[in-house]
Amino acid sequence: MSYCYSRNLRAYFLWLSVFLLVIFPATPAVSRIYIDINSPLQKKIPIAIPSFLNEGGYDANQSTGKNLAAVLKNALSFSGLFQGLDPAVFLQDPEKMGVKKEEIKFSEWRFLGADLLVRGSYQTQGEQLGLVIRLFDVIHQKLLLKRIYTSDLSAARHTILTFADEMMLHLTGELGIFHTQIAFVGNSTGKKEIYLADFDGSNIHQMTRDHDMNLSPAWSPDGKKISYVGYKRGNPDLYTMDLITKVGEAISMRPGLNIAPTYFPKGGKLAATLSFTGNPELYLLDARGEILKQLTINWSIDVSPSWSPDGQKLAYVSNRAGKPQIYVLDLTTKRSTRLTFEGDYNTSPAWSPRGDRILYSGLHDGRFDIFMITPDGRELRQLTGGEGNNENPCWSPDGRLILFQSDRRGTATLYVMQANGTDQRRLRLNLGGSQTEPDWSPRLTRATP
Amino acid sequence: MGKSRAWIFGAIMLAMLLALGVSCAKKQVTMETQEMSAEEAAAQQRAEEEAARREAEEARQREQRAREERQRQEAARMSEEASRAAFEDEDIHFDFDKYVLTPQAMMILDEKAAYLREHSGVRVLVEGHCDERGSNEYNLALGDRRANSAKNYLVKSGVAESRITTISYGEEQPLCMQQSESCWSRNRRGHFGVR
Repeated sequence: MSYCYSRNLRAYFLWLSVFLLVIFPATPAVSRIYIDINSPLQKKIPIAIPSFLNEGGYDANQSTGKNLAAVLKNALSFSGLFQGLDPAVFLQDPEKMGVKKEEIKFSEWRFLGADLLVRGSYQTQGEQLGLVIRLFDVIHQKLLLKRIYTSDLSAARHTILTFADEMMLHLTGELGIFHTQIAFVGNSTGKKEIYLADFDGSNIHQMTRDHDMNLSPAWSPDGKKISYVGYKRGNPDLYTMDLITKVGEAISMRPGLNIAPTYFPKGGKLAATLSFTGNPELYLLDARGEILKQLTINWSIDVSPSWSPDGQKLAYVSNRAGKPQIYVLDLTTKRSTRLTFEGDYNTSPAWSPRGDRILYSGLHDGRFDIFMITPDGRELRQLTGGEGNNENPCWSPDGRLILFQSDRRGTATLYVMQANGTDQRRLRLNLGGSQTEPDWSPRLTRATP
Repeated sequence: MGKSRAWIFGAIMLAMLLALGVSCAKKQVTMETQEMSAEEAAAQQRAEEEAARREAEEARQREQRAREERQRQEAARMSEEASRAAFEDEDIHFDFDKYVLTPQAMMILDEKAAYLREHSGVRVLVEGHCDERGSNEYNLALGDRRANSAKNYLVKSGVAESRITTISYGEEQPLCMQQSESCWSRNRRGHFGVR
């Protein structure tokens, strides 16, 4: 049973849910899927997150409760599934409002249009923070989730994001993306270097300091390494950096190109383009850069591989028909089939984490835009348009968001949109210069570097 | 006493005559000598002047030759530098999304091949570049093919393959930053560097 929180359809689905409850009173675990993200009509869920209540301890600047609520509201808004209500319209003073179900005046929140309410309280003791956070279904006047956390005060953001992830798991059946990072190429120092940032663009770290060109960062599936292309030895070579030691080690320094690394979904191996034969071909390499297999053999360019999530297929760019187009290589049959036929110049394929879509960047009316297609070439959709060049798309690990670069406001920088192309917004990156070639990490368990 | 006086007088007179004669003879000899050395000096002077003139002339000619030699060397060096500069400065250009050599690119490569044949010690780095349109990765591959197109042409023109290295910079090092075809066409280039 799926609840859809579309405002227009709410009454209908409420009625339907009552109906289904009557018919199927004992529904299994899927009953907790509140949000069907596959619904094309899905609208943002209005959610109210009043300032967290101080239940004890010293709060030097009286802003802790407000900050905790803001971190949660910003993260949930970033997911694109929620619309955080403006605290200015709240009818109740958060300081005088209770935290338990029987203390919540659901009718007032419903009057404001909230479907969900998060009520949090905190205590501090020295550097310790205690948090109790409750998620209420305003419409059904029901407690959906209650979590208790203790952490260092300095880790408050991390703890709030953990709650946001658990909230997503509860509402959608899948963890959120609030403990992920993005890797990208930035040139604010005058040279292209590899950077990492949190999913929302905060917490930026410069990872390479070669004072030479570094390109094409690619996350390992365990989130512990990134591979990238570096020019510091006077040739485009492949490097892998351990994110703890931050040391980049060359893994392929063959003559010619050593570029476009992409990790095999189950780790350990990567696909890349090498041109030591005189022609850029795709190869399968082990983690140390030894060639396990040559994947393409022809006299055209083969570049930019992207694995299907099961590792059985590889989408890539080839100009074997004269112009760059997307092809899909079936690793079992070893046969490549052409995927794109619209347009003369299609590059940068990105296979979705669910396996059902492939994004790419295509030249269209003199500009590059992001397109989406099924792996068998159906349902072609244009996701960006009319605003500059939009290139190098990649997926969030839950497949709900797309990160890409756009020069729609001048210098190329990073943008995020929903998987259906709506809600395009610039990532807040406190960094000068351009930001390009993003790659979204898997969900991370370790602390940020 | 009169006799001895006369003898003394005679002796004195003789002495005087002798002295006179001697002095006359001496004077004549001296005058002769003076007359000869003046002629000689004049001749010598003429000779010296002649020699000095010759020497000056020779020096001038030497100087002239040296200057000419320097100029010749300078000109040779200039032409060597100019030909090297021309070798390094003149890029070949490609059409959008293409790595086939245009007829004009082949003409330029013929000159480069001639230079490389004349300068057998020179090694060359061929850089492949692209305009900004298209993906960074595809452009790296395109730049690689462009550099290899130029390299293969030079090898076919008789330049040893071992003297040629290639590198692709894709779209990462544009010469020109405007979004216009005139700018993009400058960026789609093969560049040649003497190593």
